[in-house]
Amino acid sequence: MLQATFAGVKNLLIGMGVTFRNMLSKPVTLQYPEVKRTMPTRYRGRHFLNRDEDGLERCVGCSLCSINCPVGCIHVVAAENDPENPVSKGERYAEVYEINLLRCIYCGYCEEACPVDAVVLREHYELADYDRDNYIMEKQDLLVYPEPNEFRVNVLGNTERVNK
Amino acid sequence: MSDVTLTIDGKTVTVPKGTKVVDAAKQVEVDIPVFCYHEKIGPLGCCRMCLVEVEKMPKLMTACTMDVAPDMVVKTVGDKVEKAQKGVLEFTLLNHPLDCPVCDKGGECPLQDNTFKYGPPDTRMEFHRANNVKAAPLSPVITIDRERCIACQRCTAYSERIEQDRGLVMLNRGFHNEVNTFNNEPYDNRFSGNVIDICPVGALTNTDFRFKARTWDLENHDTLCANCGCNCNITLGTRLNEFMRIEARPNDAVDDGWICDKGRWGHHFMESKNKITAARENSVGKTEPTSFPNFPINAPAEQAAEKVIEIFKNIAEEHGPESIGFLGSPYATNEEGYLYQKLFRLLGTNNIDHKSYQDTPGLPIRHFDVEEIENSNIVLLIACDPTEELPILDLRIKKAVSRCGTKLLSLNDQDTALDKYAELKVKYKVGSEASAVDALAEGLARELGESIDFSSDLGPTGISDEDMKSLVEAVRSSMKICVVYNPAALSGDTSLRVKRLLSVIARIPTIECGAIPAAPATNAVGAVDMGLLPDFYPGGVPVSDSEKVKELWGENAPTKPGLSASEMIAKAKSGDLKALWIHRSNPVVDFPGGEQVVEALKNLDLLVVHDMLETETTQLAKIVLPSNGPGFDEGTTTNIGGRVQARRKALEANSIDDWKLIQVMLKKLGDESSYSRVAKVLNEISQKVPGYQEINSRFVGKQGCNREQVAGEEVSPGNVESAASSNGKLQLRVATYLFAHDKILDASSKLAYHFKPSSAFLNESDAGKIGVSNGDRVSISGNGTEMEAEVTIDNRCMEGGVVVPRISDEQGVNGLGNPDGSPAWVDIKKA
Amino acid sequence: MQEYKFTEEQEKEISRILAKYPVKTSALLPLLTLVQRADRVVSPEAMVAISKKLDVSPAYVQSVMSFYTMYHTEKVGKYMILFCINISCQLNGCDKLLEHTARKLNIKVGETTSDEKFTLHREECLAACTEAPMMRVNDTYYGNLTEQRIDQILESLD
Repeated sequence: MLQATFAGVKNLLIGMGVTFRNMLSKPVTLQYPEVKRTMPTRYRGRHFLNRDEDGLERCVGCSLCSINCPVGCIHVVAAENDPENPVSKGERYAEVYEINLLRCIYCGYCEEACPVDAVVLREHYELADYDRDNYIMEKQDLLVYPEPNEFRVNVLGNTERVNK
Repeated sequence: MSDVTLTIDGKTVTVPKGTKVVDAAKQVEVDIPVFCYHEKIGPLGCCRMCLVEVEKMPKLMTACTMDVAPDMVVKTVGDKVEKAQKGVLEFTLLNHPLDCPVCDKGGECPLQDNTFKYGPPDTRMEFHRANNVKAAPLSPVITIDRERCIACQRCTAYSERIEQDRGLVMLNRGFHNEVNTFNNEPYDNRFSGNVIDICPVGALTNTDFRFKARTWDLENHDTLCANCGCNCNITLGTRLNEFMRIEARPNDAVDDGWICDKGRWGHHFMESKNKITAARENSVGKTEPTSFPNFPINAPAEQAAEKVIEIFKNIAEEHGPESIGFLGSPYATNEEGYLYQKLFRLLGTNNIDHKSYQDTPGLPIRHFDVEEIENSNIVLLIACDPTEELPILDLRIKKAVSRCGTKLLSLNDQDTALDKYAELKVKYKVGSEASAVDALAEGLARELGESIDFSSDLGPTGISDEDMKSLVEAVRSSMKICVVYNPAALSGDTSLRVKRLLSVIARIPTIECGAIPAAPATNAVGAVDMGLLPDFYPGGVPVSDSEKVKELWGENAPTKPGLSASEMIAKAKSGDLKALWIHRSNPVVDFPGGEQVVEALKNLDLLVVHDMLETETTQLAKIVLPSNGPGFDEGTTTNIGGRVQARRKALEANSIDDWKLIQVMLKKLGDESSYSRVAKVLNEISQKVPGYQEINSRFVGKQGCNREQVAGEEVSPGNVESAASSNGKLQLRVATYLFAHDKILDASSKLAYHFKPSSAFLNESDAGKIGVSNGDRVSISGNGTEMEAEVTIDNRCMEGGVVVPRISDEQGVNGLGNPDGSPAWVDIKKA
Repeated sequence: MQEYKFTEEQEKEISRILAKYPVKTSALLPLLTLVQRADRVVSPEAMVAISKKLDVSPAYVQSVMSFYTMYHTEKVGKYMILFCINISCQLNGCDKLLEHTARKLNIKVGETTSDEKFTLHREECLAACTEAPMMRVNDTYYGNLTEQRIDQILESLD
């Protein structure tokens, strides 16, 4: 009887051991949306269009992203640059650049295909919305390029937004 | 020619002697990379890309310049060849900029493809690439990027061998070598655009298409050019239902791989703002016809058409079927023409026509394909100026003369650009073509020993006896002759006389002969074949042959000859014709008569115009119906060589297709045939139209097929009437100018730089009599109208005539002509 | 563009040249030489005139003309000095002599003096290595050059 009780307590302690261990360890879940997760730098989230050092658009409207896209969610219409007022370096730029984020599968092939490193997939994953129309990203939406590492890990090991 | 057997990469191939190794390799699917070689231009040996190893030859050889030889053993792979290919490509790419993402050629670039396949993985070049001029205009429609040029000389060879005017050349030497024109002048001629297609890199690009789309974004539609009777094959690239560009689609039987600039840049009318998009009623004309129901505003075209055809039926019942008429279009497809003539013959009238000149279906001799020009040893041009009327025919004739040993004879009333290729040029006086043609026929008949008297008279033609004799001799001694004549440029019944001449030629036993009726309009041959004529049913069945007509077209088919276009206009003026339907035609500008035509059309009770663009005639119409036109429509057209080809839909239109619209009207009139697709109309054509038995959509395919001979009637034109006294007046010859400023090429056209001011070409002696010199402004008056022109004295025509090219719609040169189509006399005074 | 007129003598010379060739186009180089000698330049107007004589396109005339370095699109001086700069001459100090000549004429290499008397050009081998350094003035070769000799030559030309 005593022996059985002892064994039961022992087993209980073994079981609770897992619980106690986890009580003291860092939590896996986060208090989203107050706390946000830092994504790995190579995470493929929302698309952005880069600018170069002079502030010109990098995209030359070559459409390689759109032809490489396995789901056909990118639409590019190019136009000729005005040499006086160039939008991008080189002879042409993308007059229209649209990505349908609903259709996108975030495979990153567009980034892979881009010869001028213009289109990139960043760590932004908060893409929920109430309106389907908002998922058609136009050029002005894509050119709003955020600071890298918008989120950081605080002393408590939780993520928070960097204050600008 | 004897055949040669050789081995290429272990594969045995037998080809005709004289074939280049490159072409022989193609036959056994061995790929030899090239830049400078083009099968239509011929060998150059400039780019060195095609180096191959030939057994028993010490060095690598260029496959594009080397003729095949018996038992030759060619190796296109192996270390030696691969090293050479890598080396050549490394050199070619030394200064070639890496702007493929920006380049319009990207995606269809032989340099990209060859580099990918044979090239070195990267360059050993450590220095800066040479900088050169980027994106300079070579002409208003071609952009040249000198950095991208690899100096393969394809374009300059094209200019030398195909266009044969050497407008584009290589200037300077060595490193400074560049493709350019004389003194940096724009490179513009009728065929300049082809250099864009043949450039193996992105050096020569289409300014109009520049950066509009990447090539892989385009939807390419294999269709036909709609600008002249050659019906060249084109690829029409669209993106998201928008027109992007046009490229040549090689078809040896039609265009030999080239298209003219009007074909390449002259299709912007498809997106013109003058396009008629909806049916409408104009508030013009006399009081409304009694039977006029309320025309629904903004009704779809098919509803409007249903109503209008009912009115036509009522008018035909009220005033008899002779009181309605139909003016068809030589620009529409065969299907549209066929259905329209069916519709109006169902209404009981034969008042159907499509032209202002005389012409009949069929030929007394073989209808030659355009390709036959190359293996004829004589080509006889009658009143034909292919350079302006049918540009690709011009290239074909140049090719035949310079490469195939064909001799060119020209019988014309004006000088043309092709004259310098002519072996013999016989010029007759303007307006005397009937006598000239008769004299030639009579001369040939006499040689045959036939005692035929056409009572021809060389007197009024101004041709010397000698010239006529040598022309007769040249024709008689030919082995194979191809007569190319332009019925639209022949006044009165001369086209019938040409047919009589053809039947005389056919009787010469030693000659293989054929003819090409080369009217400039897109589907002039098809319109005649489809029976858009007052006296012929489709396939050249004369209306008088009531037995056959009844057999083919039913008991009620009208068998009384109808009115021709000019007669209809005369009857409209006198009030006998009550209602007229015009399909894609602009008689106010294009028919002789001008003001008289306007008056006549205004006098109609009901004028319906079914057209694609707003014209002077649509302004006069009571009802305007939208037609979609080239790019939007589908069907077949028959080119000058009798080849039936498919014009395919490239863009989706908002309004109903023309053939469907006519079908709606046919149904309204109680016709039982129903066509689910346009191919079904073609099926019916093949059943009902003699000559088209073999034609069906599968057979037509992408390359088209020749129709059978359409039967021709024996013609017997009367004697030439003696011309009216001149009284110091001059005979008018309206010449064609390819880039006329009309509805097709409007002011916003890319080819607007070709537009010319109005000019009159005079003979020295006439100019002396009138007292004008080069550059003077003159007023030309005739038939109650007047127009201005600038004088050029260059003896383009003989004394007593004046050549006025039709350069725009506003110019109104056709207004000087007589409405009945007889030769016009004009007065010229210094303005 | 103005019309270019050949003088009567030139016309005679042209018909003499044309008679020599079975194919008209072959007379292109002699005609260009004729014009270059007379005008010391081949102007676009002259090219058009030649193209009309030979029934070829003006572009073709320009293409041939621009290939050869001895036809000039800018007017050259009365005396065309061609300085050989190839290996034999270079070893014998042609660079210095060229510099001397340029300084003496007060022009840069490739330029013409303001009085249109001298034009100075570099030339790859003139095929007279035995007399290096050497130069050519119009049709005359001058070998074994020294600075003094160049001065003498230039003064003797007027």
